Amino acid sequence: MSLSASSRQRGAIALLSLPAVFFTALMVVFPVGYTIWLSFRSAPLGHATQFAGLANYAQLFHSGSFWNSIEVSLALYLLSLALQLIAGTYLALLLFHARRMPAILRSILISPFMVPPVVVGMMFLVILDPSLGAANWILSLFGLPPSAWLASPQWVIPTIALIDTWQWTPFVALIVLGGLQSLPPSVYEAAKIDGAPAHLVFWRITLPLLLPTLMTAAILRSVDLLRFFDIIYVTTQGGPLDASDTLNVLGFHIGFELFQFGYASALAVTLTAMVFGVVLSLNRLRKAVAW
Amino acid sequence: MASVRLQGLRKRFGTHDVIPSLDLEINDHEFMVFVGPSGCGKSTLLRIIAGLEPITEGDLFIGDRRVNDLTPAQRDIAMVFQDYALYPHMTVYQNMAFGLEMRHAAKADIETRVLAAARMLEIEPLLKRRPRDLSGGQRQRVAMGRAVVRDPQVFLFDEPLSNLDAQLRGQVRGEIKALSQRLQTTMVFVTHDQVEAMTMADRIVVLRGGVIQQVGTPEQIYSTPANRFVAGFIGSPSMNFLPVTLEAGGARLEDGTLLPVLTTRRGPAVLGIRPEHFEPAGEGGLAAQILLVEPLGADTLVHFNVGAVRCIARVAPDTRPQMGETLRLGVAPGKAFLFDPESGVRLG
Amino acid sequence: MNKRILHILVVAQLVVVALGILFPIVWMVMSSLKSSADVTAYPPSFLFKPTLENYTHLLETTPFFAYARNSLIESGASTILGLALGIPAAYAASVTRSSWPALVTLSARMAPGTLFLVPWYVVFKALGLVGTYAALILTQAAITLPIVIWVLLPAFDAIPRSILEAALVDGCGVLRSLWRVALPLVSSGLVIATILGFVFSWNYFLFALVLSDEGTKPLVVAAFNYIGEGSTDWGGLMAAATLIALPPLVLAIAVQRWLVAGLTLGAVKG
Repeated sequence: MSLSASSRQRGAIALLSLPAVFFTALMVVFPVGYTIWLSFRSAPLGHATQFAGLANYAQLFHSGSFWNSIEVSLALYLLSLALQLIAGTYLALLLFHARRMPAILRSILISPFMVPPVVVGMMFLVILDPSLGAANWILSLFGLPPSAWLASPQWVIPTIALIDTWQWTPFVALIVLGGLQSLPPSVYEAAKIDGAPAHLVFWRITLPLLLPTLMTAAILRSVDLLRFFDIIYVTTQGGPLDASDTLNVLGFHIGFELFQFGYASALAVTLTAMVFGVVLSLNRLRKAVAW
Repeated sequence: MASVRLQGLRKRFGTHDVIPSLDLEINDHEFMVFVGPSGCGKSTLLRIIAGLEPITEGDLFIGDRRVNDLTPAQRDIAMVFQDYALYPHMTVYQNMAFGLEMRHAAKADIETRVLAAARMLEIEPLLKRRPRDLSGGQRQRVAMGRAVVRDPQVFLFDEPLSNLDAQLRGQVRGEIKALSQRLQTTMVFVTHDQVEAMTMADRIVVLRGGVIQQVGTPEQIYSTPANRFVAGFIGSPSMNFLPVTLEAGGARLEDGTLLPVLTTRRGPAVLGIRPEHFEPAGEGGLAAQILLVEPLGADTLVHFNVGAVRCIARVAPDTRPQMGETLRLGVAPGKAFLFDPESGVRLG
Repeated sequence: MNKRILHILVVAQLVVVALGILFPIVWMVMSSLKSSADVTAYPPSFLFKPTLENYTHLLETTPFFAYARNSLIESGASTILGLALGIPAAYAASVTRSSWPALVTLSARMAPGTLFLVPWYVVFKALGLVGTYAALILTQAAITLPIVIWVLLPAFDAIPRSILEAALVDGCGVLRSLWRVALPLVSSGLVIATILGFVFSWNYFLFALVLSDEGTKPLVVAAFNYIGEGSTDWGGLMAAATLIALPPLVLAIAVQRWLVAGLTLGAVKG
């Protein structure tokens, strides 16, 4: 039921959102429209743009680096998402069973995702240095051979996925913990009375009830992961060669290093379509597993 | 202080008419109670008077002013909400003062009025506390204090007693009644509880499906219900309804028993008897085979079947009826009601 | 005894995980306090004589404070702008139960920054605004506004409607019921929205990378330049990293309890 004393009141309420609407139109809606328009035009810097039809998109879909970026982005996305959901659920279960969360632990948990990604990149550049970094030293303690980490074309994506997992697992864990705490305790009691052993309770009761929360976490992470930029730009700039050249890094390179705005716009539109597609299907999945 | 007049009032939510068309006049100084089952539109009607719901069609007057297009604040009403709706971040004093402050009353004036209202409601010691530190009953008083302090034209109460326990409810009921007699302000009180309606009202409006069934004093509603719905809704336990055929000697039940009822009508009807209007009969009357006995102390409820209809009679405790026993029951003279079997309208 | 052992196991695992989470941050701070000989020692040294020389060197040889000032101005102003736009919008959306602001907010969050960046760059260039605070504050507000709405919408939704109606009956207009009744009731949400807005604006890199110049460059962009120079100077690099990460960390830890509650509320509501 809405608060609606009179039309004047309603008008006043609508007026409240006007500034935000105006701002959003100016800063979000207009640029998106402009980008879509630009993606159909060729726009070399310093010249007037001309209609180019689907040329930008055709160029994109015939470009090897575009398909490489798709591959890189998807690999990074799937690997990171899987790692973060599994590690996040594990951490959330630990927190749930510990029952109490001291302030110090809560502080530690929120710290990683409060650190600027640029700083995260900087700290891991030092830790993962192939010759003098702490990471290889730790590997050597376990008798493992050193890795080139970010400098290795095969390992760069898993490495970046690990860095992102370090940064965002606590966030996922806190959301999953919220989900765990909102589950009705009576369900566990009923399962106990039914005589279900602990591991079955997890697989048959907890996990299915938790799926909607996990999907929410997946959606939030997908949005960030699919447009991965900061840490890569700081650490590898898409390298070695193009082994970590995600769509967003490639788009930035085309737009603001080569200044091919039309082409860059086509790529941005494609990337956005991808993000929306993934989010919408995940959202559908979330509704399907809701209870 | 003012009267409230509703003319041809209509309220629609989406495509659904919750109040098709309603006319009502609430007199100045009157304590009017809206009663009815949930979904009957009583709360919507109150919220319309408050200005919290827009009117689809028709006119609403408070005093001589048409207030359709006025905001709640401009209507000069005060409302006590079901959940009290106290401002959690303000003290009791600030809660009571807020409405006056919004009307730019002078500080000294605000203080005088808040203190007077607090004294009247005996909540002076609570003035510095916040709502979360109060008991349910205390919150209820503060909510009333917030309304009283404003000295409005009309008080509106939206089921204000439903969150209190039974004992407290009885007490507060008496206090609200006393308050209304003292303030002499027009009050509109919504409840689903017919005991509240009967004990507090000057007049009662019985609503069903957004339509007024009857308006009258508690006495009128009880003794001359307009139709079967009102008759069944008011009174506890409910009135018993038996299908009968009216003949020269009275009303004949389906099992052939003839009950003496004065009427000139003939043909099928519904006979209504309140539980308290059964009385022991020597010969004749109903043969009631007792299914259940509920001793309440002051009187005893006896359950029995007449044909397929479950009936309840209220009898004196010294009757000591036993389960399985058969009682012979008649109807107190002049206390039987007759209703039209189709429309439910009471037959005169 | 079974339960006790189980609890100890859980706590032990938590300690290990917490140490793992903490390690990179601790390592950063430790490295920033090492002399240039210690910081490149292999195997890494844990016992070393801490020194502040990296910090003094950083502050003496680079305009660190000027960048910090830029960061503060841009994050602060964009947070204020985000609050000024977001508070009334979130309140209106909550009162009218309309879902479009949440939808737009989420969409704006979903779109990659490069989608907006080209038009912004073109327009700001044409207006001569590239490299100005105005451009940076406006674009960063596109980060803070969704955060403000995301945090405040569920907070406003949690206020019982009858309290807002009571305010209406008491004579509050729309603005006054927002200011006097609704806002005080979401004060913790307001703190979280402010801090999260500030932190994420402080941390956001991409827009400033393109739209700032030497005079308006915020710390995160300046830090990127340190990396190029810092390939040999790990101590200095980590000193810069520590100082840049300090404000968000301090702010977030100061309100950690509310922050966690706020994050979960927004997310669980979807």
